Amino acid sequence: MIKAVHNSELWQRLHSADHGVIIVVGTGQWGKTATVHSLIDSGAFRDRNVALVKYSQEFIEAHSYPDNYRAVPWPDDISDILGILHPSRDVVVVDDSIFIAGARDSGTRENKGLQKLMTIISHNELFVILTIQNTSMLDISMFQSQDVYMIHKNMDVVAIEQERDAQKISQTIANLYLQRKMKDYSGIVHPKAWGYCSTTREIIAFKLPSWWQPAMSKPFKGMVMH
Amino acid sequence: MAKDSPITVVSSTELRNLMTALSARDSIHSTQEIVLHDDAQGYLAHKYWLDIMGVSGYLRDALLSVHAGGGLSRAMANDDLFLRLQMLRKPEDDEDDYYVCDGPPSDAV
Ligand SMILES: Nc1ncnc2c1ncn2[C@@H]1O[C@H](COP(=O)(O)OP(=O)(O)O)[C@@H](O)[C@H]1O
Ligand SMILES: [Mg+2]
Repeated sequence: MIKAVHNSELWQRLHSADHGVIIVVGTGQWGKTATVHSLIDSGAFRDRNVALVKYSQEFIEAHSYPDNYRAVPWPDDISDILGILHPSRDVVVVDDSIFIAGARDSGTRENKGLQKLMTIISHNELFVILTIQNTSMLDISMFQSQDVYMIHKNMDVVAIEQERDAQKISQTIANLYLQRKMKDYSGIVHPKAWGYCSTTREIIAFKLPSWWQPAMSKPFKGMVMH
Repeated sequence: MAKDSPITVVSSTELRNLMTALSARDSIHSTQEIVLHDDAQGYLAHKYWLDIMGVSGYLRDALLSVHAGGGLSRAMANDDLFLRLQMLRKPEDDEDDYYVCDGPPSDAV
């Protein structure tokens, strides 16, 4: 049966929560960024404003994002982020988070900036959405919270092999679900729309928002990252 | 393949990943059946039919191995396998449910 996302456990839990972390994981070009905007557009975060980390304000203004979208910087000291956010009124998007939040410390899986952000989230009424190509780049502590919702997009096999063991299972299962849906609904639902939430075990077709423009897939194009 | 089919088609690489992952996870105790056949659905239908008809033991195995043997060589040649994943599914998964995320609720302002 096909139902509106508003009936899904994922949507209802997000809608009634006051904080949380949503991780959208999958191979590049498989629709992570589009999924984030689709989820926000569904009203899951009510009327919160959307803060796009490290996007440029010019980029946002040059494209047809809704009025409540804005660019915010990623501060050198992440504690300063509360100075630029309004936790209970914003949802923070860290798109391609590994590039945004900087490389992890050498020799470990840790990314101090993201970890610190996780602590901030649970103590403030903040929602953070991360997109990432592979969760092996994230610290394990980021998955152990009850407030983490994992949405899988399709991941290629080579990337799965790089995943942590627990993620290998859920991503392989996700791929099976997603590929079956792609096959069953080919020509009906865009293949990149499919997502699998392993937290709630739900399959969701994320449609592009009405205001979507293809350029929104490349928000960092031409930017110098450091 | 019918929409309500319990069969998922995966490449052998993916299958290997899944089997590795599953064997690493001892919490799954259900038996899993790998159907190496170019007509997995036919194979399963055949097997269900034998079950329903009460055919068991040597006769059942013999009838099925003829069926499965042909599939094996074909699957090796084409590098594709059929995996029956039913045991990993919640019952409601088989109802082919999914959600569509397409804008705000209709009763929203
Ligand atoms: N639900 C969808 N329906 C149609 N096309 C999509 C959908 N999701 C993604 N796409 C297409 O794929 C491109 C890449 O998607 P994007 O979200 O930027 O991927 P990622 O962030 O994973 O690299 C988009 O520009 C769009 O053309
Ligand atoms: Mg992207």
